[in-house]
Amino acid sequence: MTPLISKSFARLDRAMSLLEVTVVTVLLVVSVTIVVVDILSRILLGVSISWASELARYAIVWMVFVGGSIGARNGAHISIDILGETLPPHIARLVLLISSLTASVSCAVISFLGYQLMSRMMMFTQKSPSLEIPMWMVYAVIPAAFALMSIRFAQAGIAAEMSERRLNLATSTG
Amino acid sequence: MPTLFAGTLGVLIVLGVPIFITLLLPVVIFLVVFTDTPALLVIQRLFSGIDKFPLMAIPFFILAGNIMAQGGLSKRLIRLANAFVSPFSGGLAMTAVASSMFFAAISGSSPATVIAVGKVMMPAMAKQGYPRSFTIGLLMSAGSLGIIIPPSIFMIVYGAVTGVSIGALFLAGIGAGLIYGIVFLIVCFGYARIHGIKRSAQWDKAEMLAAGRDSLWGLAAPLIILGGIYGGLFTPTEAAAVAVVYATLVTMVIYREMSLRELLQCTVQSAITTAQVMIIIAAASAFAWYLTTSGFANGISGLLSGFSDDPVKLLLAINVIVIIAGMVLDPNSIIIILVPFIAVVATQAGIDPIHLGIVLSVNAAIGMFTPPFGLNLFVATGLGATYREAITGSAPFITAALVALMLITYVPAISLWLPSLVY
Repeated sequence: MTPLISKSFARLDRAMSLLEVTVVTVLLVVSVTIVVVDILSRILLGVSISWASELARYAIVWMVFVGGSIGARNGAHISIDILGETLPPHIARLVLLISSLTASVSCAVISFLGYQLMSRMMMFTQKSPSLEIPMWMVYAVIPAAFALMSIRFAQAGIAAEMSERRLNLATSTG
Repeated sequence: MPTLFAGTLGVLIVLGVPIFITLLLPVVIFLVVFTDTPALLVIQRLFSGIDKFPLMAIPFFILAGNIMAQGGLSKRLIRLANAFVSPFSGGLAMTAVASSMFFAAISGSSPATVIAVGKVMMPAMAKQGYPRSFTIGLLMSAGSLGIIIPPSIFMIVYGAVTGVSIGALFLAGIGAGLIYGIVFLIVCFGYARIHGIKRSAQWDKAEMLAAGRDSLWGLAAPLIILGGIYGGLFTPTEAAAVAVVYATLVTMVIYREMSLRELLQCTVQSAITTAQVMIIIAAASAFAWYLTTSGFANGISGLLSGFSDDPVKLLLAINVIVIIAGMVLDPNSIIIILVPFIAVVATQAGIDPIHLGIVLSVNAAIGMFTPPFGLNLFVATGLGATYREAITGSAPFITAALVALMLITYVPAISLWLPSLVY
């Protein structure tokens, strides 16, 4: 790859990471906060916030799928790495490439199915019970996050192939 | 057809494809190729599988555990365990077990326990003359206590699937966790006696007191969580959110070992860990739904219903099935996929659902470090052991854990005594 292209890829990679990390952090903080505020309001003022649990739920569901994309990039998803531990390194790398690409294609398919489901929901005007957000917006996370995951799994597979230039992990897990 | 389905699953597992994809891909393929059922239903299951308020306790407990571990609490707990048990024969190994018990009570996660305790104990135990395979075996098995001792993610998922009170499960886990931990303590004692590993220290009252005082805030956390739940003040999910606030206050204001920046890093880290755990729960829900609608599940129910009139044999059969499943799948998938079938037969046989939950959690704990696929075996390689060392090291502890399993399975009072006082 020419330096220019690889540089712009690196920039894109950083921008995506920043977006993912910001989104999951905000969602987790929002959901903890709203649950605690609801408890305080119930105990101190005797008033429950009717939409608190719905907001906490949707925030965490979104966080899980967007966080799945960070996991895909960093190879942090739970898998059974038996071949990687026992095969010689160059074959293990090939297996990793195959498994990453399998994951990438699967996520693309799920993203597409998710998009179909979302489009179907847009035709009906069903809204969430307490917050009254249109349900298609809530479900939009599936096509969006799985598209991201598809890119990230492909990226992880290619990065493992070119292992000398393995991407530096911005947010390592361990 | 079931053979082809299982075959696809097997290939994906061996290739090391992430577990959530391993569970989703065969379902999508089979729906599209072999049935008229719209594949969109999978997507709906994927979403609704984790859209449940009880499951929101998972991210909150993970976050609270991470904050406490990184904010200086894990090292205080290890110091405390060390002050009390290191003077015994095999004391340092016992410290690892006791620290794992404390840490499990705070974090609720098994791999997190292995790493946090392992980082400190590996070098210390090597210096004392313990062989590395023994140390690794010990850390992996003691780390699995995270599944049994409350707050346990496994029990939260079990409660969410079966409707059994999560609070009652937590209480029942205390007795079972103690028995499980004590069995390991005995192994440590015996090993040190047989191999002549010398004692490292003497009891020091001042150190015991100082270590106790220093970790008081950490020890209070489980009390607040459990007390709040049993006092009827809040639900387990709310208790977990309170634990986050408590952990933040203790580490930032009292210990002053956590900066705002580190807190943010903790949050990101916890979000990623949660995603790893819950995306599998989502996928397993879709998988379980497919097993039922496709009729593949009938085989599993048929297998168990032969034992439905004999609780002793049925429990044994459940133990065998779940341990085998635990070698290939992670604990949470097992509950979501298998428990719907197991619970029906077990209830018919008159087995208490709380007791069943505890037996399953001990099974899952054993599956965590059983070769070839136990998750902690791979976590241990992150501590610098080879896969082979991990397997050798796990053997004595698997035997010990099976003894604990038999006790917990056939003496229900170990689990049911505490909840019977409260509920």
